[in-house]
Amino acid sequence: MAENKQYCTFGISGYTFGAAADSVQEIVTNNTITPVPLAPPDISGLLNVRGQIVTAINLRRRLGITNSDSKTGVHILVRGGDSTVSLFADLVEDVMDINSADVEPVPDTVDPSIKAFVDGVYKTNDKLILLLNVNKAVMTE
Amino acid sequence: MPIVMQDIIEFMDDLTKEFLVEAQEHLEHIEGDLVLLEKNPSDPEVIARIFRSVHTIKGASGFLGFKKLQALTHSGESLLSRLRDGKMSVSQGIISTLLELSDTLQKAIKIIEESGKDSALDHTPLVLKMNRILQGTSPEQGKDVKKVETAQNREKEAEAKPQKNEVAEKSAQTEVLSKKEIAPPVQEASKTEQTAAQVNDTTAGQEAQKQENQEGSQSESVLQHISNGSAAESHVRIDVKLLDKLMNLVGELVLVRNQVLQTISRYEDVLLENASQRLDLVTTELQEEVTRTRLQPIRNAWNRVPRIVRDLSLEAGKEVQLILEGQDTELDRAIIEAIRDPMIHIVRNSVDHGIELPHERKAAGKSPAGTLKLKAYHEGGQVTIEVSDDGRGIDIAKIKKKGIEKGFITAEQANRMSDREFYQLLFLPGFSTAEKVTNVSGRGVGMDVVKTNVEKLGGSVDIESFKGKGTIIKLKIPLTLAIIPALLVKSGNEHYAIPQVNLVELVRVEPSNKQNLVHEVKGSWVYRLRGKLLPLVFLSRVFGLSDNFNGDRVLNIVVLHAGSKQFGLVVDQINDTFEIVVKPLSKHLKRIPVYAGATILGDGTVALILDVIGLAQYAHLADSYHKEGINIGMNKTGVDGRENGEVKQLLISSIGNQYFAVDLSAIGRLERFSNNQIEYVGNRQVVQYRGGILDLVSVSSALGYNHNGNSDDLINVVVYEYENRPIGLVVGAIHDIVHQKVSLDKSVARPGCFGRCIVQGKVTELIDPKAIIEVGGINN
Repeated sequence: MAENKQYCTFGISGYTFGAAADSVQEIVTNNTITPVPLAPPDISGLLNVRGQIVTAINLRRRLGITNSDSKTGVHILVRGGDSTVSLFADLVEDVMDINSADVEPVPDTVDPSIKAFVDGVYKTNDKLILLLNVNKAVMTE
Repeated sequence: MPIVMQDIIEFMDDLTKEFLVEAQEHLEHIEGDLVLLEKNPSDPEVIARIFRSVHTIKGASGFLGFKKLQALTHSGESLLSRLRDGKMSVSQGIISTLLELSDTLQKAIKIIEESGKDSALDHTPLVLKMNRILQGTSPEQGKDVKKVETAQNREKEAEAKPQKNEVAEKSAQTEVLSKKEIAPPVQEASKTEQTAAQVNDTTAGQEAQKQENQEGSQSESVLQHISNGSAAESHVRIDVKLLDKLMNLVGELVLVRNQVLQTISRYEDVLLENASQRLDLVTTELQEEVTRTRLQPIRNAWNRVPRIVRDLSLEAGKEVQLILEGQDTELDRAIIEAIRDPMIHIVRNSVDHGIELPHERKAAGKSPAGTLKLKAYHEGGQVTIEVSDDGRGIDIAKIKKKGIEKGFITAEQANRMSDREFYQLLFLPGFSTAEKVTNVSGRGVGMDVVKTNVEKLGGSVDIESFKGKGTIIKLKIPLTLAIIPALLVKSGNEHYAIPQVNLVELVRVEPSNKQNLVHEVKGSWVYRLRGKLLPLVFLSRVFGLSDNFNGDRVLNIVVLHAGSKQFGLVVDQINDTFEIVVKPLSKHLKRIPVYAGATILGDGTVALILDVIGLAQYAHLADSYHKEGINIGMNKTGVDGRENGEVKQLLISSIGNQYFAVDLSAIGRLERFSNNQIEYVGNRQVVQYRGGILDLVSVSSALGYNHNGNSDDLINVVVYEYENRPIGLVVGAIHDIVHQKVSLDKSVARPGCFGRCIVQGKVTELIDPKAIIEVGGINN
């Protein structure tokens, strides 16, 4: 049965992704990241969110989109497994309802490194929203 | 409101859960008491205690419908009542059977925990065994010791004796599955050397009468919670999770307090300052008190030891007297859990390998029973646990042999190692000096795991032994885990925290002294700390950042110890010590060896906490040429790996373009003096050194090198012990320190030289310090 599900959309380097709203805890901006030397390259660092130390994942790196380490962006705090992790993205866009009937499989034109983390796509008039598999995105190797 | 089936089921489940917890506690005490009973068969208190515990479990299991458990405990109870009434005597066989009962009950508890029923329990063989004993047809009743007194006498005795143990309160008629005080979070005022839990129960005398009509009152007993006497009222039972939560919250409070204090300093408001000071005091005290709730007496980690020692000594045919001292010494709960297994392993080693067989002991003039002593005490912010035995001690010769056989060390090294260094070998994985591997002590996998686990807690392990006399193993563990004092340092743009427990000292090297005291030796750096070479680790380099240490900047060195090794961590800036709350890293980062966690600083930024041991390993200090430790990395092949030379640690030096090497294992120190420190006595060169006079001998003169004299202001001197006095060999420029297998070409040996070899592609003479000194004419 097709149902509507809420998604938080956000942008990274021109791509638009959507994360299921029920897995998103909050959005945090303007927070200084403490870098963790010797950490795997897709870990941006550590973040202090109201006393809790959150690991920030550099989503750009993980998805292989670009290797730039831009320090500005937003932290999307998601619940992954049993801990809170932050996905570091460029900007947050919208919250929208997406009907599961309208979700299409990921086209082959999408990079394989991105495809691995995306469950499906949703087309709007002007863009393609890649629906992120949050659990995969926060997984450790 | 009508009672619904659901409520009843939930109620029953809660009762079951509570029953399981209490039964578990009873069982822990039963085990200890049984071992005690074996040693004091005429002590009526002990039997009474055991009886009560088993009886209690029986009652509750009947009520809750655990038929098998009930049958089991019923047989046990019958046996115990015979012992108690003096109709049967305590024997080793009976104790063993009762211990078996205890084990089976433990199993039953687990089965019930998992499946909710006891149906999976196979209790028949044990029940049969016990019934046979009861009927007097069993071989287990054997010779034994003394008769147990009757109920009447016992009651008189119980009143007359000043209690070594807890006071058993005279209470109301019914027997209850009472709410017991829990030993963990809150400590009682009166503590004893024996078991800690107090059971409020009827006295033994009344029990004898009641036994017959127990069945009837069972159903009430579980439901009644009668608290008698003052002891019960002053203690509560708390879920451990709640305590952990409290601890976390206090941790958060500590951080917020740090933040407030830091921010307050910017404002000048008396009222605000006063309030913040008060906040500081209260928070500190709160932290201390809550930390104390997590403390448990170490007897909780030792509660299985008596049984294990008993079983082991029976199995091995040895007699062991166990002494436990300092059982009330308190440790954080987490530490207690973590050291349980290491303690058991060490105890096993002692009984298995340390203590000799009775006839061996007699032959050595010792008492036939060996003594095993566990002692715990607080000292200097740490808890020290000593396990000592008066057994045969550790045979250094055996370690030496094993070490060489297994390739851990070479014969050469072995000749120069101190006893302490030999003991350190025991901590290497794969090392076991057991002649035959017993299935109890394992295959030498134990001590290294013990060491790792203890070091993980920030502690250390040490062994001391005297051949023929005994062995002492000391564990030292810091008291609390979650909130620790740490030194804050800065490297690059970030702060890092170093746990104070690893800190030895702080050194500041002015640019002018850098030359003198800091040596670079082919990419590795060392610092001469009061004559000894301290390997340096540059934090910025570990992190892959750049640094500039050749400039005119002060060098900040934090001297740390990682286990038994020391090294210096070079950082940009050294800040203050703070109390920090250790927060674990997420699984993405947990695996990085150099971090132990993270914390939030007063200004809200996150700082990583360095794991000193991990850092040392990461920076390859195991391979370094630090002289204090044993160079375990010797098995690495060097330049001439294929040839069968001996591996040596060599200092490569040159004078002019002549290279020579000095075997570092023969050398005490490397020093540096400036030319104007050299004084002349007759035609000898000397320098003042450590309050005395150091004679200098020039290697180049002794060996006839052509040499234009030292144009540098500084001379490098290798201090060698010659006939109990130090002599300084003046070497030239120091190039490197290597360790590699050396293939010596002895055909060109000459006085002062052992021969030639090839080191790093250059022909190098290996000098003989002793000969050079003699050639240099010291004896003239």
